[in-house]
Amino acid sequence: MPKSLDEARLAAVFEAAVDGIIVIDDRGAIRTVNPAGVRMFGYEAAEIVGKNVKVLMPEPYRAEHDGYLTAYRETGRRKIIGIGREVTGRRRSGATFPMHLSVAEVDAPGERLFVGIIQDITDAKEAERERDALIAQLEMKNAELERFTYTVSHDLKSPLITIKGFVGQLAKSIEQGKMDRFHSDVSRIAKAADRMKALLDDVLELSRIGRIVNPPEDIELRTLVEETLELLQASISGRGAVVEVAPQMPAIRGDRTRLREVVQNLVENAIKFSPDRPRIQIGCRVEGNHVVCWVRDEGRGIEPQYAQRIFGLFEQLDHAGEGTGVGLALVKRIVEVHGGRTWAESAGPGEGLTVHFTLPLATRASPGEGAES
Amino acid sequence: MVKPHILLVEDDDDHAELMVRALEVHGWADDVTRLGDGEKALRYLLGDDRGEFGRLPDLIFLDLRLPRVDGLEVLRQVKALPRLKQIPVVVMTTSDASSDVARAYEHHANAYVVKPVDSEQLDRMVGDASTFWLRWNRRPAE
Repeated sequence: MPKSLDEARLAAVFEAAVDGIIVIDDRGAIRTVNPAGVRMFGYEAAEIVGKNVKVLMPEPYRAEHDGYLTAYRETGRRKIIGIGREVTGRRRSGATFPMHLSVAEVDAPGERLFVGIIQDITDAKEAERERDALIAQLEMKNAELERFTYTVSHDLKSPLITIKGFVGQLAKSIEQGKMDRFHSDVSRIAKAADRMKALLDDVLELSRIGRIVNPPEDIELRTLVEETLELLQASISGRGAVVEVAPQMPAIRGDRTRLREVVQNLVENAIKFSPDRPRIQIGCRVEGNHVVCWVRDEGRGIEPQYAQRIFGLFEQLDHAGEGTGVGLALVKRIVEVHGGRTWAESAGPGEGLTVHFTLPLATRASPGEGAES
Repeated sequence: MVKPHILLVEDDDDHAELMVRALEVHGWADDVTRLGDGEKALRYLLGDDRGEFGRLPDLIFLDLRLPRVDGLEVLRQVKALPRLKQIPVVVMTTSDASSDVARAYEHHANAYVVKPVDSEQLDRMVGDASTFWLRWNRRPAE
């Protein structure tokens, strides 16, 4: 039968459409499918024409589809017809994919047909997921920044109150002839100013992490630890500390300068919170594609419930100790920039502390070979 | 009359000293106990560290950011106990973040003041707060 011009045009549209077009009868049997539809589901047209459209659906939709058709035939209740929505399709390989399906009813002479128009929205869904992940990441960063600003402003204000407060006391001390108090107040003011300076330096240092990045390289962990211990020689021997380093350590990948800071801060901390002649152990174990490292001391320890708090910015368990409370926050930040995590364990006060951190393993095949320069 | 007993929970030695001096100026410094972290404050208030004759404070100045147990937790526990909850608690902190103010009130703080940076104002604030809570305010009889 020669096609009319209208029919030829319609056929061309059907053939050329980017969206899949599938026509079924009111029992669900596929009457015709366009090339885009065939490509989308991975079948040849001949394989599916005449089959029930259920084959293009995964369970449980496959099992439910006959019910929808029957319900529509008997009650006119629409699940999808004239509405259109996101559903899941099933390719010939068995793989499923998200698709947008809109269905229209066609009153053909003597029969009822349904036309389904299908868009594969795999890419859109993927983009949506990426966008959601990015938003979540940004929200997290934002919250972190807010916390940071909050802590910094709080902790910088604190020495300021001390300075202004004792400056106000100076005149009174002179009036009352309390020169001892005058001198001790001046020294409080000086210490508070020093503390502000130290805080500002540390905050600046913290802000550099993740912003100023040295290119990552493969590093022998043991060499890194030994280099760091050399830097700390004075404070180690000053306290008569014994640092035991595990003989076997793998190569890791990261920013050498920053990772040295991690080890340095942890060892300094271990010395600081231990009695004289402390024993400090540094070890590690490989787990999957990363290495879990630890620095263990036999010092003051901590109650287990506070173990995670010590990584917070300016968090100090008592303010009698020296330091600004940035050291462990710095460690955490550096490790996180390397994709790792930090945690601390202690059996309780006086029981010592073990700080763990994870780092990625070196990318080269066998450790020990020189990295390409 | 018994001298009012003030509990000062403040981890910063310098701030504690400034507070005590301000209390001295206003005549409220006869019986001040200063504790440096939230855990000690709780032990003191719950009775373990007050000794046999130790009496409960008539007023608590409470910093929020404290080592070990933070100020909010101290506040929560104080306000949850019938024999402690009538003690006025003045939260005194460097933070003027609205979230901190809101949380302090959620935990039934009696007052929230931001530590003034200016020394004269700090003096006045400590004096005013003490005078209000210790002289003018009436609490139900125990």
